[in-house]
Parts: sequence; structure tokens; C-alpha cells
Amino acid sequence: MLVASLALVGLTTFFVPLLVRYLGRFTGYPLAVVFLASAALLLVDSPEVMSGETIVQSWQWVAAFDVQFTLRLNGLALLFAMLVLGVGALVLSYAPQYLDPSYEVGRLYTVLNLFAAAMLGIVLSGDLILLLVFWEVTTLCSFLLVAGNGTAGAWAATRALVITGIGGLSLFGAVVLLAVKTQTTDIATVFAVAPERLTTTDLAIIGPLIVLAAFTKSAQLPFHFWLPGAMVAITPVSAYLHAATLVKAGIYLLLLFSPLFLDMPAWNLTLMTFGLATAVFGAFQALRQRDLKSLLAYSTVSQLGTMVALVGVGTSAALAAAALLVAAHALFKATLFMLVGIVDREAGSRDLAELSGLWRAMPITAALTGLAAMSMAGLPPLVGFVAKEEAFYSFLDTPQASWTAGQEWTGIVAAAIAVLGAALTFAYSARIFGGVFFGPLTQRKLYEPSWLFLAPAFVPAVAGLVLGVAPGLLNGIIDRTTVDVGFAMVQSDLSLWHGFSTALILSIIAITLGSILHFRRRWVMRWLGEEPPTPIAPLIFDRIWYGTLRFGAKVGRSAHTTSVGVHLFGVGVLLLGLAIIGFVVIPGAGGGLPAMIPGSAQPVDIAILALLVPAVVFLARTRSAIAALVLAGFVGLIIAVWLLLLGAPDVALTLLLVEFLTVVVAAPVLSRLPVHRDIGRSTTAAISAIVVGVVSGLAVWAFTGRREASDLSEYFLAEAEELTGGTNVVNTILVDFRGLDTLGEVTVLFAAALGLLAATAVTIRARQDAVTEVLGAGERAVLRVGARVVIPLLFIAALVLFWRGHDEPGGGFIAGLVAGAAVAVASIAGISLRIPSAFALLASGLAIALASAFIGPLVGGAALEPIKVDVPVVGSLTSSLIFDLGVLLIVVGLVRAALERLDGLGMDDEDASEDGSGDDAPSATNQATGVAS
Amino acid sequence: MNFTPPAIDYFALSPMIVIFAAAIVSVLVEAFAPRTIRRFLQLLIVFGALLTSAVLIVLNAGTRTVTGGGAVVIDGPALVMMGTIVVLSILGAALMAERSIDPVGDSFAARASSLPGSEDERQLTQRGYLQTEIWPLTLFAVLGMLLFVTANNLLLMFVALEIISLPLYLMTGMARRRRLLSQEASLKYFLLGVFASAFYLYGAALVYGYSGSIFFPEIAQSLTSKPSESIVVFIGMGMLIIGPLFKIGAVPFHQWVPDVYQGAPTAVVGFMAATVKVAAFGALLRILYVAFGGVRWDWDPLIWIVAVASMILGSIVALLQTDIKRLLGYSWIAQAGFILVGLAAASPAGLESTMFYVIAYGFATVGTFAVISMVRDANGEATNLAAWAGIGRKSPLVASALSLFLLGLAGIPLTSGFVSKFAVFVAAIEAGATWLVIIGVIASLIAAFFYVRIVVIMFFAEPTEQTASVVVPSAFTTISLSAGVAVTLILGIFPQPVLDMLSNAGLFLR
Repeated sequence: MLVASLALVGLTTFFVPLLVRYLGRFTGYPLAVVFLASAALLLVDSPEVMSGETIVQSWQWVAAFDVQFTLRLNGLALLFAMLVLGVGALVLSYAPQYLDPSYEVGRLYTVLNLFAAAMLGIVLSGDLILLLVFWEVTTLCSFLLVAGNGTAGAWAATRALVITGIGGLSLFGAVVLLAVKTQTTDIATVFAVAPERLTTTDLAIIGPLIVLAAFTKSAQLPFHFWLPGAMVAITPVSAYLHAATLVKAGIYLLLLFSPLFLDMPAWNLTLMTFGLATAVFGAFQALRQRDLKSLLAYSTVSQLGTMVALVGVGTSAALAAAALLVAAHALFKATLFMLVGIVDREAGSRDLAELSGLWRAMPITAALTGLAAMSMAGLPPLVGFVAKEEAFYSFLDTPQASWTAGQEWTGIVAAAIAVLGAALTFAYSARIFGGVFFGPLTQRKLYEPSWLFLAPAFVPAVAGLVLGVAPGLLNGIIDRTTVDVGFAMVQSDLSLWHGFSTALILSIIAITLGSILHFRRRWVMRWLGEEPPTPIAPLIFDRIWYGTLRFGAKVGRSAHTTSVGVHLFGVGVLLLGLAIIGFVVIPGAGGGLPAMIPGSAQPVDIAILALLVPAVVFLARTRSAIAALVLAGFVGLIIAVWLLLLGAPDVALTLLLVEFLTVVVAAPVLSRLPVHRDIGRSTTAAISAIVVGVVSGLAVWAFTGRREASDLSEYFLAEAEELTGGTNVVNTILVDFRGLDTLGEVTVLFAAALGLLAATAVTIRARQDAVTEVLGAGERAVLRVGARVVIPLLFIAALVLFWRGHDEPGGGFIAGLVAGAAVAVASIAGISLRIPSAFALLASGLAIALASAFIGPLVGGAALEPIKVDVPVVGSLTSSLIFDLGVLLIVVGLVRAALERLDGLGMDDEDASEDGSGDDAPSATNQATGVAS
Repeated sequence: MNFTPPAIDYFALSPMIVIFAAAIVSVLVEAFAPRTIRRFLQLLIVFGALLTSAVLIVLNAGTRTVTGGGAVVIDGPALVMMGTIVVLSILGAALMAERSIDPVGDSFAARASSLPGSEDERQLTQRGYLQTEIWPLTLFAVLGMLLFVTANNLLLMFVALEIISLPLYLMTGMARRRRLLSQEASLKYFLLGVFASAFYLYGAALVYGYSGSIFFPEIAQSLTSKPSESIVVFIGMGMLIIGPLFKIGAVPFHQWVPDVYQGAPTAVVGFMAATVKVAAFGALLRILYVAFGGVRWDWDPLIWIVAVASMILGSIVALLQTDIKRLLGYSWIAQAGFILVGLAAASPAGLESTMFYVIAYGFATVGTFAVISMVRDANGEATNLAAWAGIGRKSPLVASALSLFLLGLAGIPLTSGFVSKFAVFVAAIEAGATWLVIIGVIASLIAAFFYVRIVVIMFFAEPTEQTASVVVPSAFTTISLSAGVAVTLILGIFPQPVLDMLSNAGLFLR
């Protein structure tokens, strides 16, 4: 019947919205019936449970983690399940009367029902994972119920969520650890194998996690503050979740796991210390509250403390007392909350300062409150008294627990603190009753509420009386519970009257002390201070919370910046850290470099560096954009010379040309930007730049000049002439050996140029008006004269370089760059060249390059294979020259496209007139303007 | 020199070949097909290719082979990843195919190259141009991802990385609305991505320099055969994994994530957030488990640092976000940290749990972004959380679906996220990294908070004038959304079949 019981409540959740549609706030009644039915289903099994059996139902769930869907019913589970369902039924039959007709009940009932199912799930779970699942659901439900109460609830709900969420996650941690260490998630099996599979160390980690989960859920110091905060929820929620059930989940957890830890004094000591401290602290706080719900909340905190302490004692009697107190507390605290709700509804206030004398108008309410308050205060003949007596016994008998090593003082201290707690409890209980119902009646038109409203409070109040008179009714279930928490069966003998025992004397002391505290309240308040102080714990919580947020804001800000340096900073730090760690950790990491090859460094290098370093320093420090561009060009120039000295004329030539073209293309763009660049002068930037520079420098030093030429290099040098007919190895690699690569690359160049032409086709028109004059007329004239001399020379140079490329430094790429330089010079000087458009150049270049690839197959070779032809007069030619021509054309085309588009003005006549710049003739002014823009 | 062409198992490669062919056809359609039928053709090609590829992957189940001259490996984990990528791509593509939500048409710019705010843009928008250029890009990205998880050497992996990246950079910048944001995101993604690629390449060079091979199994062999550790391989490996870690978006390689999540078209984010993560984790797993499996102690601390930083920073910064897309970006960073916890286990359990996590995450993410694309106000998508107040009251179904995804991401029980987290944490503890799990648990709490915050805003806040409305989408988005809901629930309640599949997939082929 276990699964039926759980399923009944659980599945009802889906029908709640439907019920609410028809019944509105009265949905509570059918739900109460469902709860009772569910309880009845469990009770069918109860005879077996009471006779000592444990009922288990299990289904395979997630085999990969060996998780079963196991439900288990033993005494402990039955006790808690009855509370969950019983109090649930009461509260749900109370809610319809309490709720305002305008209240949005759909969500309330749905979540309440879901909560009840989850809570039932917790106590019935026979599997750790299942337990955890239900545990989290209760946290979530509690959050939703508190947060659902408007904006006032939002922050309190948040705090509650975070605190209980911490608990849930530490339970998660404990469950994962238990599952990994014991290789099972079945709770019974865990206990069975624990002695052999769990070491003391494991328990020392798991224990605190479970304690943390329980303390947060059961509002123990220092996590207690969420519970009074949660009182912003409506009263039925407070009565059900925050008095009777949810907060007891922590106690359940401690009871459930206590068999694992009974031999660990740290466990007992922790629970007793925090439990008793919470008991006294909560009671003191309760005494100072004016708001009835806050008072009850602190009272709950205090009572939970007592329960935790009892679990901490660790004797069978103490655990039995804890179980009894759980039941007793659920009865009287739920009653009190419901009655406070009634008072609130009828008299319109929960403030003790405003309420008085209600006894006259609401005698039944007063009587029920009196019963519940007496039970809470621990007066006979109520169940609260029996529970308190048992608690006193247990505390006195603390020395019997093995962990105390029989030290007598432990029992005396524990009992003394418990008596103090009980005295305070008596005092605030008396205050509730006396404050609300005695004294002069100040309000008019107060009436007793309807019997429907009162009945749900009547039942538990009277139950407290019945169980108080005949506590023997609870013997069976309490005994069974002690068995479940790891003790041998003992016959407990709960009764109202034990004779003049020590416990009775303690009770008398507590009541006397409590009376003094109540009737001499002024003394106490003078000592405590009249107004409740601002609670500190929430402030600490808020400080941590907002501190975290500020930290997050700081970290998050960096993502908004557009500076690449900021974004790469973290990466750089990580890599640098990695390198440093590597050098420190790995033996011999620093000295493992091969020796430099002699001759790879020359004296002239020093001269080059002497030029290079100041240039870079100036480059870093200049504020003028143009100066920076020129300096960057200068650095490139030096490097080109260096490359030349190293014996790489092709590379040097290429670099030189690229530097030149960069300046030409960039200059017009820069002229549109502010003259002074806003360079950051931050120390961080400087330091990181220097670090990056030094690290890169070191890397270059470490990785260069230490290897002989690779096999591949040797192969190229040896075979190039034979295979390709060219003596310039660099060129032969480009057009012959790696012809396919080069073809791919020029295709990319082609695509890039095409993209440039297409993407900027429209945008150019938009910025025509932004063009400004920079060059004066005189300057332009000088330029044009010079250009007319230089341009033909450049074209001739390009031709020569192209022609000899296969054997001497040069080649299609370099020639293309030189020709591109000619185009650039023309562009600067405003001379219109009669050469094909960029697109024509690009298209023909790619077509020629592609076509040349097929020459090989045509004559029986492979694609791109160089085919040698002996031509009279000029000597031997290879097909790769044609390929190179394609490369040349594409490069020129790209340069032309870049100049046209990035300068913001077409060089073609039609383009210029299409632009509608107002100047029909393709005059020099127009073009010069373009250059300057 | 004699050249022997490598033997190629065409059937094993067929899932990729189909996508590649479709991508090329798609480019041609874009260039030559008339505008009127272009969309129809493209959708036919994209969904046809993805479905065919999915079928071929299923038919390949059980294949364990190294082909293409050792460059491509098709093994159990690879097939699982490929299948996941393709299925998620179908769902993501469905989001991109949506044309019922935006009144103008779709969520892509009429012409991505036009300057935002220019006359040019205004005219194009006025003419109501709708582009289909997103489709070839999508197919290429998918191809890259499939290659990424099957690459068995450093070079192919790099090529795959680039094939994934370049289309995504473009797709990020193609948003129809808030184009500056979109373009900034695209540029940032591109610039940082280029750096990441460069780091990868440099690392690859160092690793090659040490081991003399670009093939993962041979790298592993050289690492075990050479007795002493080397600083070269240590740093090389560190730089190498920056490539996938950047794609994953783990701290400190995360700076592009929030901008891209916020700026890119929502459908694109849904697509890439789900699929790229699968691919990147697939690649990272293969590098670390196959090539560097023997030197776990060299890379484990690095993964720890990245995991911890990602979990903590991602969670904390997400707390503050007011834009839901940006928030999800940070949330992803945190999620990446959680997954890395599983990866750090360096065990079969680590492999399985990591794969499970990315699968679960992928479906939840597609669904999440499906919902986000539907919530709109007069200015297009309403991504500011203020506009979400009380949405749950106006459209309870959609809001419930989103809540499910968010709770799933938060790792609340009965959703896929819980099982995922449980799996990675168990794997990590078994590998002895209990402390890492503790940090993970703390970070999950922070993360849970901001997910729940959205749920609260949707259901508990009173609707205001700013509150956006939920647009009814066409079947495309509905299908993605439903699939997301179904998988998130099924993986949460009955994860067993998927877990079985993952454990049957076995380990990487070495």
C-alpha cells in the first residue's frame, strides 16, 4: 500500500488546478480527504510494522547508478508519515476558511499538495537518491509558497532558499559520497555494509554534510534566521511547513542517519551543543517578540533545538524522547498557528501590544489556545508535559551514552540548560495565552469564528490532551522508532505520572522559574532590552550576498570591453602560469635546450637590434597615428634588411613590399581618424605588454638556431633544379612542389578581394560626404611628377622580377606586389592608370592559374606538374611560369580592390561619376580627394 | 616519391560526406536558384541531409574503425557525439527556419554586410528581403563539428575547428535587429577565436616537435615510451587544448560568450550553444583521453583550475544579469565548469558522464532558446528580464516549459540536469577529486538561484505594462520546443536507455 499511498497524494497534484476551477478556495476539503485516504492506506500496513517488520517495495530505476525506486515503511517512517498526512489534512481543511475569497488559490493548493507528496516521499524513501529528490522538491515548494506571497516575501524567500539550498546540496554531497563509498544507494544496505566499507575518515566527511543539511532545514544556529523570515507566508503555510513538517525533515534526517555516527563523539557533541544553544537562544528570542507569528517561529526554532540535542544524546531513551517531542510539537504548534490565524482574521492583528481580552468574545478559541499553550509549556496533563519529562530524563542520563565515557557533569549541564529552555518556553507560552485573551477587551464586534474554522484546530488540541492523559497509546510506535534508529527493542513506558522523580522536580523548577519570568517580565525585559534587536545573522547573510554580487559585477564588467587585450589577459596569465609551473615542476626543464649552431648569430645582429629596440619603444609611446604607422613601417624595413642579411632575399623583398603597401593602404584610412590616438597608459597594460614581449623573445631564442636543416629542406635544396628546372628554391616550392597549396591560397585571396568588392559596394556611397582635403595643391603636383617617373620603373621591375622568379629572387607574388605598388603610387598621386578593373584582374588571374594546372594532364603528366619546354632565344621555360602569372594578376587585383574600396573612392571613371560626388569630370581633384579621405 | 592513396571507408564517413555534399549544393542553390524557390530548396537540402546523416549514423552503430589514412576515427563515443550533433542540429535548424514569429519574416538581416543604421539597410529592410544564406553556413558548421569529434590527428582537428568557427562567426553577426550588438559580438568572437586557433596551432607544433607525429595514438605512444617529462609537451598540450576550451567557453576563454549569446540571433544561439558544446567536448575528450591519457597528472590540474574558475565565475556573474540571453551565456560558462569536473576524472565513468551531460544540456538549451525567441514585444525579442514579469500567468504552458529547462539546468531532481550532475560528480569522486565536487556543489547552489529567479519572475511577479507577449510559432519552433521538453523529462526520469547506450559505446578507439 506504500506506493499507493504516495501515488495518491502525488498524482492528486495534477488534478488540483482542475479542482480549483470548480471549487475555488474550498479545494482544501477534498484534498484533506485525499490525505486521510492516503493515511488510511498506510495504516493498513501498520499492524505489520508495529509487529517489527519493515515493509519494502522496490522497482528498478536507473540501473547505471544502481538506483532503485524503493519505498520503505518502518516505525520512524510511519510516525512521520502520519504527522505529514494528519497535520496536512487539518491544515487543508483549515485553509478554505482562512483564505480571503480574492486570494489566488490555484498555486497555493497545487504547491501545498506537491509539498505534501514530497514530504511523504522523504520519509518513505528507501533509497538515498529518492530521498534526495524529495528533499529538493520540499525546498523548492517551501520557496514557492513563501515567495508567492507578494514582494514582501521575495527577499525572505530568497534567504530561505539559499540557506535550505545549501543544506540540500550538502545532502547531495553526502549522498554521492555514501553511494560511491558503499557502492549502493539502498538505505538499508548502506547501513548493513557501512562498518566494512566506510572508514572513519569517510564518516568524518559525510557526518558534517548531513549535519549541515539537517541544521539548515531545521533552522539551527547559525542558520535559524530563515525560519522567522519565512513567516511572511500565509498562516496555513506556516502552520504546515514551518511548524509541523518541513522543518522536521532535518530531525528525520538526523534520526535516520544516527546509527552511522553513534560511535563518534564529535557527532553527539555537535548536535548537543548546537541543539541546546538553539533551544535557549530561540526561547529568549521568542520571549521578546511582539508579533505572534514571529514568536511562534522562534519558539519552533527553540523546540527544534531541543530535538536536535536529544538526537545528540544518542541513547535509546533520548531518541525515543526526540520522536515523542516531534509528535507533540507537531500537534501543539500546528494548533497554535491555526489559532493565531483565526485571531488575526477575527481581530485583525497579530501584535501582542494590540490584542487583549479576547477571551470574552472568543471563549472557545481561548480554551483551545490554552490547551495548546499548556502543552507547549509542558504542563500536565498534556502530551507536551510527557515529552518534556522524557527529555529531562534523557538529558540527565546523558552519561549513560558511551561517548561521554560516563562523565557525570555532562548530564547535569545538559539537563540544566534544558530546564532553562523549558522555563523560557513556559514564560512565552503564558505570554501568548495571557497577552491575547486576558486583560480588558479593547475591540468591539468580535465574535467566535464558525465551527468550520475552529474544527481543524480543535482536533489536534484535544489530541494533545488525550495523548497526555493516555500517553501509553504512543508506546508502540515510539518503541518501534527506537528500533529503527539502531537500538534493541525496549519496552518504554510512557505515562503522565512517574512518581516524584528527578524529572518531575526539574519540571517543577522549570515551571516555577517560568512563572517568575512571566510575572516579572519587566525585569527580564530590562535585562534583555524591550525592543527585539535587529537580528545579526540575516545582516551577515546579506553582506556576503551583496559582496558576492559586487565581485560578480567586477568580473562581469570586463566582458563588455572591446579591448582584445583585456579579453586575452586571463588566457595569458594562465599560459604564463602553466609555463612557470612547468619549469618549476618538471626536472631539467630549464637546461634541456640543444646548443646553438655556431654561426647562427652574427655581430651584425647586435647593430640591427640597436636600431630595432628604440624604434619599437618610440612606436609604443607615440601618440600620433601617422607616426605610429611610419614607425611600424620602419620596424618592418629593419626586419627586411635583417632577413636579407640572413640570406633570404625572397622573404625580405616580400616583407618590404608588404610594409610599403600596408602604409599606402592604411594611410588614407588613418587620415580619417583623429590625429592623436588615445593610447592607454595604464601600468597593467605596460607590464603585460613587456611580459608578453619578454616571453615571446625567450621562446624565439629557445626555439631558433638550434636545429640543422630538416630532411625536407635538404630534399628541396637537392632536388629542386632537377625536378622543376628552377634554381630559386623558394619559388619552386611555391609554384611547383606546393603548387596545390598556392592555388588554394590565391583562391582565398581571390575570394577575399571579391568579398571586399561586394561587401563595400553600397557603403562607399554613404560616406562620400565625409571626404576631406589633406594634401595641398602644391604637394599633389610634386607627387604627380614623381609618380610619372616611378610608375613605369615599377612596372618594369615587376616584369623583371616575374621573369626571373624561377631562378633568382622574385616570382609572381613579389612581382604582383611591385606592380601593386605602382598602382598604389598612381592612386596617391591621382593618376588614372589604363589597366583592367580589379575584378577583371582577379578573374583572369584565377582562370590562368587554374588553366595552368591542366597543362600537365594534357601532355600526360599530373595536375600542376611543371612541364619544361625549350624555347629558342629565351631558353627553357616551364608551365609553372603561367601559373605564376595567375598569381601575379590576382595579387595586383587584390591591391587594386583594397585601394579602391578602403580609400573610399573608385578609381574607375564610371565609379566616380556614379558616386554622384557632384564633380562629373574625373578630375585630379576628385581623385586626390579620395586619396586623402 | 611513391604516393599510396589511403584506404577510405566511405560508408563510415558517409554521415559527413552527405553533409559536405549538401553544403556545396546549398552554396550553388544560393548562387543560382531563383529567389522564389530558394527557401524551399534550402530547407529540403538541409533537413534532408541532416536526416540522411542521422540515419547513416544509426546504420553505422557498432562501427569501430580508423580510416582516411589514420586521420578519422569512427568509434562508439564518436558516433554518439555525431548522432547528438546531428539531432541537435535538426532542432536548431528548425528554430532558424521559423518565419512566423517575426512579423518582418525571419530573424536574419536583410543583408548582413550593410552598415547598421545606414540608408542602405533601411532600403533593404523596406523591400522586405529575406535571405537564405544561413543554410550553407549551417551545413558547413555541422560538417566541422562532425569532423571535430572524429578527428584523429592534430591537423584534421585544426581544420575541423576552423570549419566550425568561420560559419559561426558570420552567423553570429547576422541578426536582423540590434545589429550593432550582433556585429560587435561577431567581431569579438572572431578576434578571440583567431587567437584561440593560433594558440592551438602553436601547441600542435610543440607537441609534434616533441613526439614526431600528429596522430593521437602515436603521440600517446611517444609520451609513454619517453621516460622523462618535457616542458615542451607540457606547454604544447596547454596551448593545444585552448582551441576546444575556447569553443567550450570555459574561463578564462569565456569573454566572447556573453556577448555572443546576447548579440547573435536567438535561433543561431540555440543551434550553436547546443551543438558546438557537444563537438568541443568531444574533441577535448579525445585529445586528453587518447593523446594525453598517459600523462593525466600533467593536465588534470589545468582542467581543475579551469573548471573551478568557470563554475564560480560563471555562476556569480550570472546572478547579476538582467538580460536573459546574457544570463544564459554566463550560465553556460558555469555549466562548462561542471562538465569539466566529470572530464577531469579521466575514467570511463568520466567519459560517459561528460557525454550524458552535454546531451542533456544540448536539448535543454535548444528548448530554452526556442522559448526566448517566442517572447516578444514591439521592438522584437524581449530579452530584458523586466519584460518577463508575469509571463507565466499569460502563457502558462510556454512558461512551464521554460521553467522545466531552467530547473533542468539547475540540476533539480526529475530533470535531465540532476542525473547529469549526479553522474559527473560520482565520476569525479571515484577519481578522488572530492574537493572539486564540493566546489561544484557550492557553485550549483549559486547557479540554482538564478535559474529559479527567472521562474519566480515568470510566475510570481505581477504582469506590468512592459510585460512581453508570447507569439504563437509555426511547427518548426514547436517541434524543437517539444523535443526539448520530452528529452529533458525522459533523461530525468528514465535515463537508463541513454546511459546504456553510452556505456555500450565504450571507450575511444586508440
